[in-house]
Amino acid sequence: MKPLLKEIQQIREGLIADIKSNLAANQLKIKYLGRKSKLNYLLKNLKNFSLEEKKVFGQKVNQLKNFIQSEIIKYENQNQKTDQLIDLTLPSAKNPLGSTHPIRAMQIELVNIFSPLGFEIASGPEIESSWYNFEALNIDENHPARDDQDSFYLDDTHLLRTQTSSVQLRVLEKSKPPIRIIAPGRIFRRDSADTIHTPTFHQIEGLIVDENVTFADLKGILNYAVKKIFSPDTKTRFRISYFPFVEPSAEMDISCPFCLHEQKSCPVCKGSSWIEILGCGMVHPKVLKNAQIDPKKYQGIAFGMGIERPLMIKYQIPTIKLFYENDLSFLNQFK
Amino acid sequence: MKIPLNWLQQFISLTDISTRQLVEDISLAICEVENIISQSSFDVRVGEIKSIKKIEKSQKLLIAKVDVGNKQNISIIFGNYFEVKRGDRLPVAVAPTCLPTGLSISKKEIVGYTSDGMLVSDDELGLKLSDEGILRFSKKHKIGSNVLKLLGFQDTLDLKITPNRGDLLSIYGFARDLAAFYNKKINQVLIPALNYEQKNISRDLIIDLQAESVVNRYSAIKISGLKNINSPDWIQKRLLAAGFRPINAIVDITNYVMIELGQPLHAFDFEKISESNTDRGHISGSREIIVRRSKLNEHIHTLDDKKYLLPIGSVVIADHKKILALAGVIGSQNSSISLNTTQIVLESAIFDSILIRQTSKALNLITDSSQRFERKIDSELAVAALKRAVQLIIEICGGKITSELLDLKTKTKKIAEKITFSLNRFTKLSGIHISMNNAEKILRRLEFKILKKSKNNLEIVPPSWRHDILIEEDVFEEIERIYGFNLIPETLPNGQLSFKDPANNLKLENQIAELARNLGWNETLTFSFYSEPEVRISGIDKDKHLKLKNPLGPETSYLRASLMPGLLRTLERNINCPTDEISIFEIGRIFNHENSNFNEVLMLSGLRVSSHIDNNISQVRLLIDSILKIFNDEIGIKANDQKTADILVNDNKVGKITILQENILKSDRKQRKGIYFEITLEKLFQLTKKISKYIEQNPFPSLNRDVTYEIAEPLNLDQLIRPLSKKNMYLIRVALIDIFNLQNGRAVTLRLTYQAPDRTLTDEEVNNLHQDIIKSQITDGVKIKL
Repeated sequence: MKPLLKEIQQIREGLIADIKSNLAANQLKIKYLGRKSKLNYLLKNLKNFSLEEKKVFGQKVNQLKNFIQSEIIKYENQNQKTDQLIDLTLPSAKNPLGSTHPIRAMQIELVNIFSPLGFEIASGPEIESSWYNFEALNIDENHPARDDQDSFYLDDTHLLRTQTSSVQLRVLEKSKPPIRIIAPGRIFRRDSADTIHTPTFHQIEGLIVDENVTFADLKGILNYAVKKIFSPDTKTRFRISYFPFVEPSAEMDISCPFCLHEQKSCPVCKGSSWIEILGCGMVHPKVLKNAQIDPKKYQGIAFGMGIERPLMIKYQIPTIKLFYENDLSFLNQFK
Repeated sequence: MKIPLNWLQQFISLTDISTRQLVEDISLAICEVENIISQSSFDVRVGEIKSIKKIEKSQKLLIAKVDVGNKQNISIIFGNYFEVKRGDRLPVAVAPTCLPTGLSISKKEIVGYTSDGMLVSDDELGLKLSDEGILRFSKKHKIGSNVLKLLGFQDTLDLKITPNRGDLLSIYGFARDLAAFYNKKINQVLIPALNYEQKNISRDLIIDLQAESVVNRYSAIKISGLKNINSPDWIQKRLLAAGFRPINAIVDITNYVMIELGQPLHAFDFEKISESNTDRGHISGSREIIVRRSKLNEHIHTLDDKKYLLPIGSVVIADHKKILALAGVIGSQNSSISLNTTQIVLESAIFDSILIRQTSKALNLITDSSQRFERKIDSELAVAALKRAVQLIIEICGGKITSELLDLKTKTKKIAEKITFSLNRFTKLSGIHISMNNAEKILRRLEFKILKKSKNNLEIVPPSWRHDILIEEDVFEEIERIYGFNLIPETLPNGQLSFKDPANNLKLENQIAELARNLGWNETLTFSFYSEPEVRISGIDKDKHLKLKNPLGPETSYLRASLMPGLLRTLERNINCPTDEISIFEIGRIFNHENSNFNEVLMLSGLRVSSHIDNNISQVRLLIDSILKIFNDEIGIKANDQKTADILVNDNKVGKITILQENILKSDRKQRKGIYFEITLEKLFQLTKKISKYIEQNPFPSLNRDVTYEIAEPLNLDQLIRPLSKKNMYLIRVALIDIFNLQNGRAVTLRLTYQAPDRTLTDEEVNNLHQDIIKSQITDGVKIKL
């Protein structure tokens, strides 16, 4: 009994002495907690004692173990403080976040708005035959509407698509109604670059063909979408327009997000309090016929919206050219 | 199309509607209103000359101080074309502004003096109102008052008429649609009967209509004894407000009637038409007008003094010697009307819309006339417009009719197609519930003829001016726009959703873009074309590039066959940005020729610039590895030489890495290094491994063993690591721990991890395996460092 208590006392003193003499922490651990340590020996020998003795000794040995552990941890912490300074405010070494191009960001946003409404993503080629880009959409060669969309040609029958509507027929030909797609993509018009034109820009096309889809549905969907894009209090209005592949044809304006009341000086809406945002309508029966879909049985709604335009409105970007100049100071604003 | 409101109100009363309301109603139901032009759009004021002095260095120029009202005195420099003296009150444009003719006025420096505006002559104002050539105001005209207001110029709407609505290209036609919208009465244009006396009629005007297939109607009449003058003020002011420059009464009246009714008219000077040969049986002094197709190498010298080579097959109005006009587009100088003209032939014709469009397009010549023909003319209009113009000409210039009305019709009047309107179908498509009665009322307002009526159906015929209404859906649009698009309810579509997933790579593309962004890269977008020098930079044969037939300029000559030139352009723009490191990428389609097919391929390309080449390589590698990890684990980089390497997936090449040697970096002040990479995303997407079932976790411990190799240059690490990792099924990972440079080579420490799927590997087993594996890589340039 006594020698054991004495031994415990010796172990304690030995540890304190070793700590004072700056023995390395891992060596302390081996010496006082390791397999060959005196503590381990004591623990192993516990089984040789009577139950009564075990109670007392067990407690003492455990106290010793806790003492050793806490002393070593204390010692380690102490050492660390003096060994190396820790600065938790150090800046990151490299690779700060880059940026997603705002056009992609808007595309993703639009996909995320339309996907829950059951729209799937479709796509088509950027080099398109004039059939898909024009004739199939009820714009024949002598149609004055072609003047509005001056095109880049590769040969007599192939051009860079002037509108994502070219995807309409490709989808209609391949799948059977009900059809519900959106098609974001790059388009081309032969316009010199200025504040509102670039020869390349982006659009998103939306198309539903089903048995009962109505103009009222078109309004419902588009109202929902612009409220999501801009703000829930965005108002819309529909104006008569003309696109040969939709009948009726309309354009949709949104209420100017920047001026609540009519302000002549508002740079965004120029005082009209409305901003044109997209073209839309009911799919022309000729377009359905061109895809061998019976226009007496099925009807459709379609819309096409620029991608740059809502970005320019939302962030008050003064010129479309900024999107294609790729100045890092511009791009880095769009994480 | 410019519509002066006072002219419009000749046909429809709008006194109960504010301009603001009118503009909104037109925008919603008829066409886009691009602009409202008001008097105040043109800052031309009554100004009083306070002092004048000559500018020394100049022969002709004078400088005046002018009081333009509101205690504002400005300097005006002007030429001595008019007698101007102190105290004169003249029209003065105050810069910056513009004139109704489109002329814009800005402040100007002239021989060291500043001119704050301009004295406005009649010519510049667009009106011929004074003999002298400049308007003069008396003392009763207040200094500073708006000159256009004094002239009675009223608000004008500038409208953008869509190509389907040719019927709106006239004041009357526009008023007619507006009247239908407001359910108002329209004042008809009074079309007079032609009054002529038989004794005045000569038979010296002959029409030979040859191009019958493309001329639906050709009407003409001769008037003699005219005295051509400048038009009266009211015509001049209306024309100017509508955007036309007054010329002389006869020409102005043809324009006036075209603007009013929509029918283009043309007047020829009768005496300038060559006399026809008497041997054709015509009386002496007679003129024969031939309407024929143009032949090879025919030219026209137009009214506006330009020369055009005519495309074969366009239609010309000619005599037997020369071309008098390009039908439906523009007149020729050789038969034009002057103030000396006393006899005219007035033409009112309907030319085929496609013919006119083709001619106008071929010559890139768009006129007020060609635009109207292209969009189709009301077939009922030709003779009515002719009569209206004859009446005005005789009223203003005197003279009398000296020929019969020659009216040649080639096509019997087309009977308009009947359309059946079904109310049920209208409701099914529009979502609007209106009564048959209301639908019918709207159609009657639009002057549809109702032939038959039943509970649910109407049999109708559209009015002659509505060439755009062909099918039932067109009728639906008419009802909806008059009813009001904005009264249509808003609903969400019901119906079955589709579960098919059309093949689309957009999601994968977005995933890659996001990953790159997270690793510190900036996404860029550039145009899809580039210039010839950039073809060379791309390193791809010019033959493989697709060339645009009609580029905008040299910068858009070729479709990009590589994203590299665009990235270099972006780099150049940002070369002076404050950071040392630039990491940019683009995802986009490139184009090339393959077996005479047009090919487009989705690519990812990136460009990394910094001071340290190794840092560039590891950053690029980090991005590529991370991307490939999304799709497929089996990545490899195979160096071809010191400058290029291939990116491999399952030993298929999916891309490449190259060291940039571009001039742009050579001239970089910071002397940075660059590296470029590209991955053909479509190939990558095809090689994508899909997880079909999860693999059970391995419960057995793994063991690590390190090895250090000494490698002699120029061996590439990939050549060492990749074969190693395929050596044994128990070797599950090879990781690079450390590299350091030796005198002639590198020392590379690798950590190899061993694990068996079915048991715990013993130390001994792993040691033996490890020794076998690492020794198998010993070659000429590779040895194990002990």
